Amino acid sequence: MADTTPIVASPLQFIQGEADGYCDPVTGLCMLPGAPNPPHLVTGEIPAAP
Amino acid sequence: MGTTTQAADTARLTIDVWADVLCPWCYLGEQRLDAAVEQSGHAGDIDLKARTFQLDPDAPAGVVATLDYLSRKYGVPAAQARSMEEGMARQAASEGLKYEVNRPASSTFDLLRLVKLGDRHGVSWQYLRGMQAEVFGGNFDAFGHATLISIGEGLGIPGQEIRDVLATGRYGEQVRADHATAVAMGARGVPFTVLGQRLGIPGAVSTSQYADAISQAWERLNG
Repeated sequence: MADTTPIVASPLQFIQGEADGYCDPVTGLCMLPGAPNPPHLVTGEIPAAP
Repeated sequence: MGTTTQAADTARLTIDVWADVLCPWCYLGEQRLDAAVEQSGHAGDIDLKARTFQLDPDAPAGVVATLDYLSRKYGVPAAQARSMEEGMARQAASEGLKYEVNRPASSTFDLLRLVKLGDRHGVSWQYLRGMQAEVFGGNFDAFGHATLISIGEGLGIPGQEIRDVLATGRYGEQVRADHATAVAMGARGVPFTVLGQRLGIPGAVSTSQYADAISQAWERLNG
């Protein structure tokens, strides 16, 4: 069996800083030079609890 | 995860990375993370584990040219798609990575299911990276079963197990579960890296940022 153990990550702390690039998990679009980019991503922002 | 070696009495650090095979920033980020692990001085005590994140569930089942795929996906002219890719190719080349603008694209669901099989054999990271090397290297057979079996066998996975997964829907639920887990954890960028189950990095950062994060996570675990 593959390891399906749920990762225990609460509370997850995000590093401070800025990503060089990423792909948007919702739209699947990726930051590419000259592309209509997803919003700029700055790490370190902890999302509000749902 | 979290096991303790008897010799040095240090806890192992697990680094989970949510990624997709076609994701350019995953490809670059993984290379940087590998470099950071090597520089950390703890490479022998760090486990890199690939978690799956399918970025485009609507990607075509058949193999198409990446430039055509991107042109449609981003709604841009073919020339702009090529320009975007050439920019990424220059970035990748500067980091020693092969990145063919003319390369295949297709649904990655079956490949991600195989990454989960690789996890069972302790080689999820290597399997993912092996697949990406074929795709980004421009091999238009990268999605073919023969290629996927060859990569897996090279990592010690029995070919019959790979064929069995490809012939069934096995590990599909695990792929979907990985996706849901990343979303629940607040992943706002892929690759999404979690060190020691506590420290998160959305998106691809520099090698030095990965190195700093490894140092922090290691200190928390063994400090």
